[in-house]
Amino acid sequence: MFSWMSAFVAPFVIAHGGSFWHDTIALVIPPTEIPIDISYVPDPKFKSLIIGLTFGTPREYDPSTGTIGPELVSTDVGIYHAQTGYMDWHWDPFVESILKTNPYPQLLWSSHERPYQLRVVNYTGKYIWCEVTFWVIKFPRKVRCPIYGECDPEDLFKKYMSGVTKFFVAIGASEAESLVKVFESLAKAEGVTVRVGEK
Amino acid sequence: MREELVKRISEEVRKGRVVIIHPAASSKFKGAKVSAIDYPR
Repeated sequence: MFSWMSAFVAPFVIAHGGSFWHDTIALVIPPTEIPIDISYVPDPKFKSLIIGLTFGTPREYDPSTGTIGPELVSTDVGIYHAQTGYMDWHWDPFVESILKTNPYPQLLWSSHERPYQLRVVNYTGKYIWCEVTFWVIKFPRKVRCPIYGECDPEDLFKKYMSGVTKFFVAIGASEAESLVKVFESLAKAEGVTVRVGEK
Repeated sequence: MREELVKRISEEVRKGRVVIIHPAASSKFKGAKVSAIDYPR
């Protein structure tokens, strides 16, 4: 899905008992002049890291027969969405640049107490059928960390990502010789003696 | 689509409610104008 997922997020997931998950829903949206609010409430037993939202092709829907009709692409229908503390409200109209691309990841922590928020708008005058998939990694509500002890996975993930950034900033600011020392000390911590450049 | 599902969707959307269909829709999706249908189970 995203290259950064395997590089930086997957190790955290494996180390802290996360499990990959998704919820795929079908939505039938009536024509409405008033936007409709929906809360996506993750399982209360877990903390959920929402990593993405993808949309299927919206289609016209006939409620009298249940017939799913032709594809509908329009700026008159779509979904606003937000996650408190992570993502501001913004508009995803049902147009090709939204429906057919997946340009950025989401890394939004959500929980039973802090659900993911959606606001559906449909000014087309038509009933619409569409599907949405929420891509999620579920973590236990508390995880063990050798440095910080038992912690909230959301807090630990922030520390972890901050550490990734600090590490690469340090590399960017370092001379080659000091990097060699870093790798030697890391190897030493693992009980291995390595001399970079020596055979 | 099953007839009873079509009927249920029809009833709810004609009231102006968004219908969400998922096996655990009622526990995961909330809203004053949201009708969750737990299907399939």
